[in-house]
Amino acid sequence: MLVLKNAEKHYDKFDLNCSLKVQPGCITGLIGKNGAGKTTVFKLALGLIYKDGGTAEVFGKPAEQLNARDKEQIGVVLADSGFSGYLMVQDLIVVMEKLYPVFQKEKFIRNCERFQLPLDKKIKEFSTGMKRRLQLLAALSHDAKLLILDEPTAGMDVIAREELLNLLREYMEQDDRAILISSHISSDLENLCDDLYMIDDGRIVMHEETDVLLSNYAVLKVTEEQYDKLDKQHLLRYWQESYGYSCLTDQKQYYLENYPEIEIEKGSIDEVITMMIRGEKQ
Amino acid sequence: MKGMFIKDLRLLRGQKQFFLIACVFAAIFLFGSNQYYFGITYLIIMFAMFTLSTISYDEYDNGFPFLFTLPISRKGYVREKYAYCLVTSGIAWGVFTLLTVMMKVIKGQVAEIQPLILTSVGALAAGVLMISLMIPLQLKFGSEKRQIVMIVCFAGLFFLSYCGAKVLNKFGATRFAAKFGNVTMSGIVTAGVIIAIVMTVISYLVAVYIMNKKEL
Repeated sequence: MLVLKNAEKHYDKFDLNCSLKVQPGCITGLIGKNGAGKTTVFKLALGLIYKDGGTAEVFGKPAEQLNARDKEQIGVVLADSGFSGYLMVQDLIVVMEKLYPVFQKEKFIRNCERFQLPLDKKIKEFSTGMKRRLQLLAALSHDAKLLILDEPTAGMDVIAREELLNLLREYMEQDDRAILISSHISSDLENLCDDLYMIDDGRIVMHEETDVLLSNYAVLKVTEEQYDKLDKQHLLRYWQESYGYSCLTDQKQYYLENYPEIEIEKGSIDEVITMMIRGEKQ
Repeated sequence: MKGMFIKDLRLLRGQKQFFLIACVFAAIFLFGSNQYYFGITYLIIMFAMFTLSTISYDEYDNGFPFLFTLPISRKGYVREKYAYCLVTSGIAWGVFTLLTVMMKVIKGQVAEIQPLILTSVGALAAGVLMISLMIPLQLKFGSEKRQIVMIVCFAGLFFLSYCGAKVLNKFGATRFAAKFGNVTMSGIVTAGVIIAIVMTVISYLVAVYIMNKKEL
């Protein structure tokens, strides 16, 4: 559905070179710290900015050549941009009806009421969370095949976040749909995504299925003495600590069986991110 | 394009106070002082400003990137802005001209109708020329920078006109004036309309080029 192959974008102080793939039927997560390049990836995929090299394709077509009909099949939430603040939701309904041939008006209004979005208030008066909810509900309202969601749950409370994630799960019940999503809340991605890409400083530093990441990745906490004796071929990153070293591995079982004396912590997304970005390569 | 057009009309509705003030001023010029040329030019420029303000609203709070994730092409966006500007300004011009003609008929000043219509068409051409300059500048530079660039452009035009007048004076402006002295009012207006149409087409093509190159 969406393929970036060595897609490049160069700015004065930032260079992106990224490859990723979003498969039909899959929810793919993109994680990374602020300024890692997530929004640049989203903009490249949507043809909002022009690539300097490589390819960026959506539905098998170069992203910058997406026409209005292609865009009808894409629902988008952007972290730093949204609907004109001078419009009200009731204006938006009329506009969306004209823009999308299959706009589900009743469902959209029902969802706006459910998520407490007033129809007769200017969008610029909405909170960040409300603006994001509105974008997400709009993205889900026109039977899109692909959702591209940059921080869709930002500014939301736990309950609203969980309800919206449930809407995404419902959306994925139909075949041949896909989602590319980024979030700084790793638990959202852990429970939602089929696979995860990790981006740092404009480069993809890791791609893994979420199940594999949660079951096979672990952080070994070892003293210097234990570290010296450790088989390092399955260590991805290491980091010096006051007690010795933290080491990230993708072969938890191997170390559990062969080094029963060392402390092994189950890998969480937050820990994997921290180690992949902060740690040093073997 | 229909969805975008409705969006802009909805945004215009939010500006109804400015819209009413513009219409009241135009009516004062029309009924109060008989300055219909000034009134119609004022009205057309005000409607052009409404179009520019819809672009500003689209840009407000970094709204452009999201707008272009909706089913709108860059070329379609530019086309809609020109269409919106021409339709709204055209309706305002038509209504204002019709009212002025009706007033002349009521007052029994039928002889003034022809020059009035010519003046009105000339004002429309002048307004269109101004819009042709402003839309590409707005798309290229955004609201804040556009105003600075406009000031520079008008200063440049003034400087060129001043230099042109000086040169003509020096090299026989009287002979030049005599040569073109026979050109009728309708001839000048026709030339103005042709120039306005050509400028609109060029302006549209430049605006499409700017939009296609723009990183959102």
